[in-house]
Amino acid sequence: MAGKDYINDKEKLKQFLIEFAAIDAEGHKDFKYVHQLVKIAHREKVALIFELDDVYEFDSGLAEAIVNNTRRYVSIASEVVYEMLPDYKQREVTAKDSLDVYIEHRLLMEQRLHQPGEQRDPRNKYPPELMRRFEIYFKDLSLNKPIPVRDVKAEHIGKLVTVRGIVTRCTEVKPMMVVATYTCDQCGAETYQPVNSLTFMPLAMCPSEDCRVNKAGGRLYLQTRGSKFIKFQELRIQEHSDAVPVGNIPRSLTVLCRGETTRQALPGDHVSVSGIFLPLLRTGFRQIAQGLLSETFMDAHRVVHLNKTEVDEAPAADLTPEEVQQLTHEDFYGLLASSLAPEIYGHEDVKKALLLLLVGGVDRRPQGMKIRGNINICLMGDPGVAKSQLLSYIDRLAARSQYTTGRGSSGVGLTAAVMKDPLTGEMMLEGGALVLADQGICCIDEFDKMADSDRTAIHEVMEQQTISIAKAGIMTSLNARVSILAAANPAFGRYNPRRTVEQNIQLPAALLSRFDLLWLIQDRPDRDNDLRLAQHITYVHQHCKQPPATVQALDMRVMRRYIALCKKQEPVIPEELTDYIVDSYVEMRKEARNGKDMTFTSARNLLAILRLSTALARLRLSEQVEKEDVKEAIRLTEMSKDSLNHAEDRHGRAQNVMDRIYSVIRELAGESKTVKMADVLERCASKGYTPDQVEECLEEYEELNVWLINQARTKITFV
Amino acid sequence: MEGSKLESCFLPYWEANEVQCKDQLNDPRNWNMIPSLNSVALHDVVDQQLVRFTGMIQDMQNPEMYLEQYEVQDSITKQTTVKMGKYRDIPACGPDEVFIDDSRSNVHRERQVLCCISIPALNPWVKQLLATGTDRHTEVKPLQHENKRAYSDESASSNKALSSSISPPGTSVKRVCCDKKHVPRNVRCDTELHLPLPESQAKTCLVKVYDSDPALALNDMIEVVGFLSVDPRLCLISEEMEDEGAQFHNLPGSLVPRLHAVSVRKLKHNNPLLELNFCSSADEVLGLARLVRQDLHLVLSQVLLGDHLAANYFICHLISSVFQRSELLALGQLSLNISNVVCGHGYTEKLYTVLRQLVTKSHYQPLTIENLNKCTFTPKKDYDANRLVSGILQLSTQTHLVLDETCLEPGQLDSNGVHNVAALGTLISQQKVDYDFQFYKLEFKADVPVLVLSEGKSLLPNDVAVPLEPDSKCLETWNEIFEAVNHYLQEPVLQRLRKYLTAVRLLEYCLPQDLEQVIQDDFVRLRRETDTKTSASDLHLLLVLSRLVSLSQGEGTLSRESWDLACSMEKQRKQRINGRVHQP
Repeated sequence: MAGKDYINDKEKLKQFLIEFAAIDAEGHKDFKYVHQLVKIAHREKVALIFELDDVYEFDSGLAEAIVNNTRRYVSIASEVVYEMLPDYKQREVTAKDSLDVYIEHRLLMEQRLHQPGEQRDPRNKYPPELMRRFEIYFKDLSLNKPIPVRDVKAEHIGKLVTVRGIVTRCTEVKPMMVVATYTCDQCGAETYQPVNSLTFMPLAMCPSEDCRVNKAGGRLYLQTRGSKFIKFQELRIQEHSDAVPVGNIPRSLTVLCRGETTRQALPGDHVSVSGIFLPLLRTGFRQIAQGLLSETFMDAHRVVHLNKTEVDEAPAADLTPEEVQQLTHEDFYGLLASSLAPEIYGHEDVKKALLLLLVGGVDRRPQGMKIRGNINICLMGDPGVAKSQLLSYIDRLAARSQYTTGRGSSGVGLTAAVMKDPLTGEMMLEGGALVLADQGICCIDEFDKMADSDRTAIHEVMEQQTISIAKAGIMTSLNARVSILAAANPAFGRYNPRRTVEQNIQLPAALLSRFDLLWLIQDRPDRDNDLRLAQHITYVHQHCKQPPATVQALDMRVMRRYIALCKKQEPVIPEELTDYIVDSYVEMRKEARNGKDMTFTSARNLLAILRLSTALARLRLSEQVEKEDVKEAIRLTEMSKDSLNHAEDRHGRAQNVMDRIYSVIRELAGESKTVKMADVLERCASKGYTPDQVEECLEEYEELNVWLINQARTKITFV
Repeated sequence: MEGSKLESCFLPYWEANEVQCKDQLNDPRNWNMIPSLNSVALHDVVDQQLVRFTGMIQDMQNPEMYLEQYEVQDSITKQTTVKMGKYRDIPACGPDEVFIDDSRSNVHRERQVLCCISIPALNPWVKQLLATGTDRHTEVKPLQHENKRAYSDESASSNKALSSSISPPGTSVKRVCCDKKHVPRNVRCDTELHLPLPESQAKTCLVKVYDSDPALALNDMIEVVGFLSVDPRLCLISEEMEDEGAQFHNLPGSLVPRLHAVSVRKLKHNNPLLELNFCSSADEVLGLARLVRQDLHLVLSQVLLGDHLAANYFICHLISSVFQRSELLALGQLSLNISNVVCGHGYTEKLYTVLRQLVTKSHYQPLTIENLNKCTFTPKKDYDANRLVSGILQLSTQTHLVLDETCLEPGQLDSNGVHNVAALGTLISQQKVDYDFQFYKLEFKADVPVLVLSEGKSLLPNDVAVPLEPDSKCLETWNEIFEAVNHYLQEPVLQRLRKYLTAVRLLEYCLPQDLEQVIQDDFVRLRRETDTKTSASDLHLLLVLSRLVSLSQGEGTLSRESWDLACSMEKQRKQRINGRVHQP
């Protein structure tokens, strides 16, 4: 380092400033640094930002030298710019503040009083900092990835580093003295003292020639107006929660911001800071006493406020080869699906559906009509079948999501509300969960308990993907391009397979049909499934890890990145598949008409299949939908219907005979309150129950005060 | 002879013979020779002496940058010398020597700063054993030295005289004077903020770790050997530094000694009756396991008023520990809720005193509305003072937490209370605590067996709820029963039980291949039985329970009998619960 040719580097920097030109889209050359210099010369701009990417392009060695010894290059660059500025002055600049006037006067004085070659006390010379009204900053190479706060170590001292974190503290912006100016009470000479550290020892005795020779003992007085101050702020940033290793306390870093880098962040903000990592120098006694320890800080060169999505999406661009390797598993569809909520065993098809929901289909806009690509899914099922866990997992995994319950706690609810600002009295629009989750996923738990006003609004959201507001004079339409993932509990505590879906969930068919897939999750004993479950659990206990057969679940971060990658695809459905899709749809309709179907098959199902198949193509990162995708989409739709229709058969065991007989009677009664005993016996016999069982049931429910049986035992009256 | 070297080893000697000294440390006998800060008063050890400290990592501070090597210049002879900065806070500059700031031979390094506190919730018998343990080879030092605060407050003059006679003359006296000056009243509560539980004898210590080991995590129990640094000049620096963040660094060395670690080891358990890696004594303990278990069962069934089933679950609860984690699941824990605790006043406290004699660490927390609203349960980061303010739930692994719900009365919970109940809930169900870093929450793993005592069904979640079925005879004479039990629990019996509980918990366990089929078939069969609703979580519980049942018998592999026993325990328990539901 000793033989470094700084003079050469200075020339190079100068050349860079003059010659560097970015070529913009139209092929024009844009001398961006020259433009900046002109502005600075006219006091229209303060900060000159050297983008190291540009420097790298110009001279890679120089850029590296700057990164490794930034402090030095800041002063070199300042000198260069200071020398160059007068050349860029195109017109007379009006003084903006007193310091400008001072500088002007000082320059005049210099010219008038001192002959060239005259001996001068260096202390009385104007320090360069006093005369400069610009600031030099370096923008780190975009190649240099932000490093974790934890990894900023001793070897980074003096180097330009970029870190990310959350601001935990920030002081007010205060003026900090850069050059102290004193005047002597005897000779009137001005003395300047550049201040480089956080503290300084004021000068007391006049060092000027006059006072020294005459032994006048002139006292120095600090001149506030003649001194130069700079804005100063101290920040403290702390690691992001995901950068903290398990079982460790987050680390923090002090950042000192000067000049233009101040006021960029508030506590709680996510920021990315580039700066020079430096030890804090103490002076005097402290330095000796402190001796072995040095506090460190970062001298900020660039503070950028990141919003949450940027933080999350930043790493989306590149999957490492290893991760790609992991993903190019032959059954990666299954792998991805089983990586969703790996602790919830089974429910493969539900997980596959949820994976498709995360990826989403492709939006279409034929002639102004909008066909949504987002997939809506509703999970139903008895209490305690991990519906909420699935929802909260999706909420955590999705880059943008809102989790809410049907009875959202805030007054805003799901859609949007017009609120009166308590301070100004103005009416303003406040978005609810659906608006906040725009272009993301809205997980709504307890969908069935939704407020009526929301229920009407959600119709629009689920098809048109907008929310129209006409309240209190505000008429507007807000975007709500969300995928809805809803979880609903059956109306009567548990799902009754003999009733239709609408009756069970107590939601109108119009709303339910807007869901692409409706799943009924049930916990029912099934020998094969139980056995696999038992094998799974015993394995976990035996080997203290997940079984190898179920492939290792992917990391959430990898999943997130992969899904972000998938979303960039816009697959199309090729012509030749049309027939196949049409045929399958016609077949489904026919089946639905013939079979006793509790669900409905409508044109919406066709759209659902298209959406699911495009989502599947996206998942393969393919440009085109293939027949296999359509097949899988149809299979999923069938499976979801299956889960509703055949709930009955599998339900048989869980319901005992009494319950079944009761439901038969209940059904027979319909709306009326009384049923004839003879009808009951007849119906039950036809269902294959013995009269004894019926009798038993009648008695049991009479005891429970569900119904009354008249004396003659001919009529049952419901209470 | 060699051992005595370590007993009073100083930094210069260490630096001269580093390899040899490190070798000596490997011998546990030598290790134990080193005076322990936990039991020795601070004024009995001197600056730069090799000492020991056992504690829990309560907080981790930002790493410090220090000069591993630095150069000084003699201002008279102009001669420069290179000195070592490792294990030191203050440069060893002579009066005429000047520190050279920008010397080429200065080497910057980092060291990690850990804030350690003496292990919280340590039970009295452990403390006593530890104290007598060190007393064995440092007989000179009287026991009452233990409480350093008592000393700095009342300053027993005899102690002072003694201390100056032990330590090299001069230094000690100087330090004592200095300490006196720098103990402002409010500092004491400052250190208490580091303790999860208020304890009179707790000590705090700043441990500086070199060549930092990333495996060290928060709430780990560690034993450190290192050089003490209590130079009075440290206080002077601290007064100079106005940075609020550094406040804690500045607590005087007399209250928070600094330790420059030469060796750090993690502790798997803290039972003083057992060796750290108890290979030798393990077999002996395990051989007796069945017998000891019978003793334990006898005691517990007595104090649980003749309820044998509850006693069985209690034993399993005592030896449970988390052995596997996934996202939402912590396998191996068995949090227990003993409900139907109806008999009179003071029963829960008495039950706890029995428990306290058995396990090494335990804490009894009465759940009253006031406690829930007022106490801090979860640790919280205080950015003004730059430290982690501890909460009740910051406990090291295997600290038994007993929550007494019987003292809960109807009342209003404020937001803090609701937060606390939620924190207890997540601790019990997932064995983790979300520490509050204000801008975000960070999840820390815990392994704290929780026992909830309640009259009815507990409001907290639990793995196993056992309604107590007291014997009517026992119900009348429970006071006498406790007296009898306390009489029975004499030293030899207690020692056996204590050894057993720790040893059995740390036993390696495996589930043999041939039982897999049995388990799977049983599960499928249980699923078919309509009246008991068996789900996946029940199977988890059964497997954990059978693991604990076999461990409690000193067996490292699951046997058919243990599995059947676990199944029947569960069956009985479910019947009991169902019975209670139908009764009222």
